[in-house]
Amino acid sequence: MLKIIRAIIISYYIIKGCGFMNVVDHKCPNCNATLEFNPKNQKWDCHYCKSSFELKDLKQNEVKYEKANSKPLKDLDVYTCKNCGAKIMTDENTTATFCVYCKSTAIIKDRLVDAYEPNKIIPFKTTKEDAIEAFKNVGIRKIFMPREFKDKKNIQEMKGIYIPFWLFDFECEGNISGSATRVSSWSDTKYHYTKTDHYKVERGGSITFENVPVDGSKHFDNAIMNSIEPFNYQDLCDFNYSYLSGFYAEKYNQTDIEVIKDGKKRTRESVLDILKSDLNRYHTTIIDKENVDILNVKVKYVLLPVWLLNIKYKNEIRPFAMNGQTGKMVGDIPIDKKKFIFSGIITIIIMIAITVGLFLIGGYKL
Amino acid sequence: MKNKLIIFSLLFLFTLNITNVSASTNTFPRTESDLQVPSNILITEENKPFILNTPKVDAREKVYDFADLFTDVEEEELYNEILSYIKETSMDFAVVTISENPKSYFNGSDSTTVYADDFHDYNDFKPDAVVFLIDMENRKFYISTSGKAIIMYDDSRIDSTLDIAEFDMKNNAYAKASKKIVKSLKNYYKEGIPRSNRNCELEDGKYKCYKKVPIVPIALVSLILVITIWLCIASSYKKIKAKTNAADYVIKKKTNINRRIDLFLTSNTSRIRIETTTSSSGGSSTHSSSSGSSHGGGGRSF
Repeated sequence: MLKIIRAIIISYYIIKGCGFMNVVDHKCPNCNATLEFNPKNQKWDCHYCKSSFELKDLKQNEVKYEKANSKPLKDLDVYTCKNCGAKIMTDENTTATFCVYCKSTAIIKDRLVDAYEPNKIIPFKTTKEDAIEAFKNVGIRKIFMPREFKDKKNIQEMKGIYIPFWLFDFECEGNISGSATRVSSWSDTKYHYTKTDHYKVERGGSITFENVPVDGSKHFDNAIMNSIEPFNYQDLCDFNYSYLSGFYAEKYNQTDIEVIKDGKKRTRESVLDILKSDLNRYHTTIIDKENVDILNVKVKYVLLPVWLLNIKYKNEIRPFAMNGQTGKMVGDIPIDKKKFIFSGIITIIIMIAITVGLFLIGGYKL
Repeated sequence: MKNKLIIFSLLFLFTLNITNVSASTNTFPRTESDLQVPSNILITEENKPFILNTPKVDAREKVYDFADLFTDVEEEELYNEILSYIKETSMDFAVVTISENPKSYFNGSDSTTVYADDFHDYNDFKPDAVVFLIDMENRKFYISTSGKAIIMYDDSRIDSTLDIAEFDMKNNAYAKASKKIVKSLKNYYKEGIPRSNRNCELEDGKYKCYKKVPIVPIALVSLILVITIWLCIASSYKKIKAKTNAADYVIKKKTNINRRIDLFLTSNTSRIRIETTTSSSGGSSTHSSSSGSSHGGGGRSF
């Protein structure tokens, strides 16, 4: 029995350990590609240069991961939503009456514990009036928007929230290789010639990214946060409690370790894009090997300003968000399906009628 | 014996007599004052001489052997063949043989063509008709089509019909050739209007081809266009889009592509012969006769 319990505890630590390995990758000492553990030979294999290593060889090659230090937060109230679990922080002069995410009024006020001070903050640069005005402009020239969608009383629920973000700096190393062709063609009086030159190509280099933002809020759809990007980081300043007065701030509920994969994915994509764009003098390219390694990571915890308005339309909450710094407004506008399809059919009929008419004028017959 | 001789000589005379009667086709005289043309023909100073040198015949006879090329039996067979053609197609048909052609070159057509066209126009045949003419003076044979026959017999059908008859014409088997022509044209009628004349019609007796409105492509293009535009509009209503790259956050100063390998492996060249395309229009080629109506057809020498 004791042996079984011991085995369970050991396997728990192994699983936990593997989770950790995913975050901190091992690098190939030869070519710097990411290594993967191979259970068959109990070694780490490099898919890029086909070498394998034991754990002792790898110790000194781990990714450097630096996290900016934080002090514990103090003197703030926290409202916890019973419905969705969101934790909204306010200073003592600001009160919350409903949850900004799910609109539930079942929220409990409490004193904040176990929270850290952000490293930096971008203060709001736009007012509530600006946000309301921007939302009013959303439906301009949108003829398929249902009329009842913009209900005046909803607009006043626009709330300014500081959203917790993790800003990652990535130092990457990328490599791609494959085959490419260049095609030239010419003609004489009898023949048309096509010449295809085949090349083996390889591109590699180091690319650095700074402040790739990933939000630390489960309640916020990552896509909507992506859509209000970019923020202008020149306005980042040291955190000060006084910036919070009159606004809400959400307490992060996803740690940097939990969200780093989103940042890595975007970075990896960009590294490959940059390397591939260097091959644009070729007419066709086929990449058969690609590898992106992240060598160094730095992470900061920041608060970024967002105006948020959740509109309930046909029993569905549609979030509209405005970048509190740049004023960029995003949100999915509903489409009146009947209007949309009907106008499409009418347009098709009119187009056919006009074209047939033109043909008839041109001497054609039905 | 004597009786037998008398009977034989009488029989011989009798047969001679019949041959003579059938060989001379009945014609009716035309005069300046009575041109005897169908009512639809507009008489002008220009076409009067053409009317006068075209024989006026009985349109019911169908076989007009002026050159005396057919025997009685042949004529009978040919007549029956033509009747079957007329019954099948409800168009008219005439076979004409001439030993002298009084016509002259007119409006780009040679005298054989002019004779065949005029023979149709200035007699009481149906407007939709075929005239097959054997012109012994010019040693030419010619198929003239009028009305619906122009649409029914396009150039390629006329050509292959002439092909069928050419061998017999060259071997002086005129009746055989004529019968083959009637049969061939009847068979083509059964096949319906040729593809090349699908979009052609007669407008006031004139052959005209038109282009059809490409309704299916128009509908398809409109459909695709509107669906594309509408989908674009719909996507403009959707402003929330996840970002898949981090292009906004690249630090250019710290970006360095330092490995560039471009290894030339091989080269190949292919060549394609440049096609020179000749366009064939198809359909029926037509011309106007002295009466002003349209005719199609074609002929050959033998």
